[in-house]
Amino acid sequence: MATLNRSNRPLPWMVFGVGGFLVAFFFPVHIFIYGIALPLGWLPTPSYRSTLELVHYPITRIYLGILLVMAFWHAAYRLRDTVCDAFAMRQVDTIVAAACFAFALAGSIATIVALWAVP
Amino acid sequence: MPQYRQFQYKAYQPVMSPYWYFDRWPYLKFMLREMSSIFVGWFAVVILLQLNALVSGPTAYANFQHWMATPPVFIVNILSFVFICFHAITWFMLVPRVVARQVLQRPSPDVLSAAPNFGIWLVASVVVALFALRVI
Amino acid sequence: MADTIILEVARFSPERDSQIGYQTFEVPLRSDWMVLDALNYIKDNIDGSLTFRWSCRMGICGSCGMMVNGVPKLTCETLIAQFAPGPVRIEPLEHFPVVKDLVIDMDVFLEKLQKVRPWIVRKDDRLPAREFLQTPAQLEAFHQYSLCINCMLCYAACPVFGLDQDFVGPAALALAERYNLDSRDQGAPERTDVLSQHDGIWDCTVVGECSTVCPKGVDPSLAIQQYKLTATKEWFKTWLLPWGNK
Repeated sequence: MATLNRSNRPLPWMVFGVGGFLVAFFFPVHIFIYGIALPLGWLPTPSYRSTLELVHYPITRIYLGILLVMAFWHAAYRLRDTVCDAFAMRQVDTIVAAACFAFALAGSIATIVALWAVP
Repeated sequence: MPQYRQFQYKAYQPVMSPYWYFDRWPYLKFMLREMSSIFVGWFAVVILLQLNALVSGPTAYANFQHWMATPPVFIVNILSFVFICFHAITWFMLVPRVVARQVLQRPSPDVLSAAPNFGIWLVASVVVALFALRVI
Repeated sequence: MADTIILEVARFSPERDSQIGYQTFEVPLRSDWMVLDALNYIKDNIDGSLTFRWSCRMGICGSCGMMVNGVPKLTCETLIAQFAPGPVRIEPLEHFPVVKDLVIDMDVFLEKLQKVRPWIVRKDDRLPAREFLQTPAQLEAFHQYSLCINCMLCYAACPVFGLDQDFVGPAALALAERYNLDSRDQGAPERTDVLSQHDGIWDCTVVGECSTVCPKGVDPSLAIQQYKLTATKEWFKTWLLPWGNK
């Protein structure tokens, strides 16, 4: 059966593609607000209570869950190729891939656990 | 192998430098684009830490906010912003072109297929910002 | 404009050398000269042993591809005057074995090309009773990819091919897509087995330089990304639908 020779990359590639869009659409604004604008005091910092309230909404948790899990797998897919290309390590691709996808799996589990813990 | 080959002189086999991406700007640009993945991973972890801090209570969250303002973290965040914007722009210029061709069955100009993405990017950013700053 | 320019030309003699060396030549600088004209000037007037491929001098045979100042170019359509005051470095196409001076061994490429079956494949071998008809829209679907002249500039520009010689590579993949998109062709399933392997499309990390250096405006990078989408659809069909695996 010839199909056995075919790569199973379509599945991770699909996730990489969707994750690439989500990261491109939503990450810049997250970094800008929490990483740049609020630490510099460019914008009024919302109170702790109101921010906690925000993650109470199921919609916020679904949004964060999908965004983070996809971002982890997107990063892992690309990081694998980057490490292999940047250090000419294509011959140890399996090890690099395992390390990257283990990171993504750990990140995904941590995301679900963290969102579960929200009161 | 054809028989005449045994009488041929050995060809020179080129070796690729492991630092090939410093040779030309397009290659370096490619490598920088791919390196955005490091920063995506970094900031995904930051959002996780933020969530944990938020759930752990006001003191933990204040500590997190203080940590975000420390110079090393702040610099990495600035870098993340630059790299991920670079990722977004290159992504929006390339990917829609592929999808558009598949959907429309014919080539479409780069700018035309990329334009809606920049619109969505703007709207998504504004909506997230309004929620994050608790305007709504 | 100065009236001469220096060329640093890569030299390699399989009988004497184990490494590529460089030899400098001073040639007249003329505004209407291509790099190839300068190389022919060297061969005719300075050193007859300088070896390089060329044929048509009009950018259609695809034999005179070389690295000009590190960028793969067809030397017959690259004006030398743009590099004044020089020097200009001329090297054989990157990532290929060098036979002599500027001549590369293209067997690697030809093997890959053959593998993707770049011709019209029909399910039955019988000759059709009449010619296959095609609408302008059907022609438009693949026309761009059919302009490839097999000059291998895209392989020289592709770091993935440099890092992994098993990668099928830009031109062969673009030509596979050229036939896949052709309404007369029925060979797509056979090509899928070559294209959908790790060394097929999935090795590509979208550097995009293949499309930039192409002298014929072919876009191999787009062809590969498109085929990734097609292969993904195929994959889901095979694994999710019981009747998909035919």
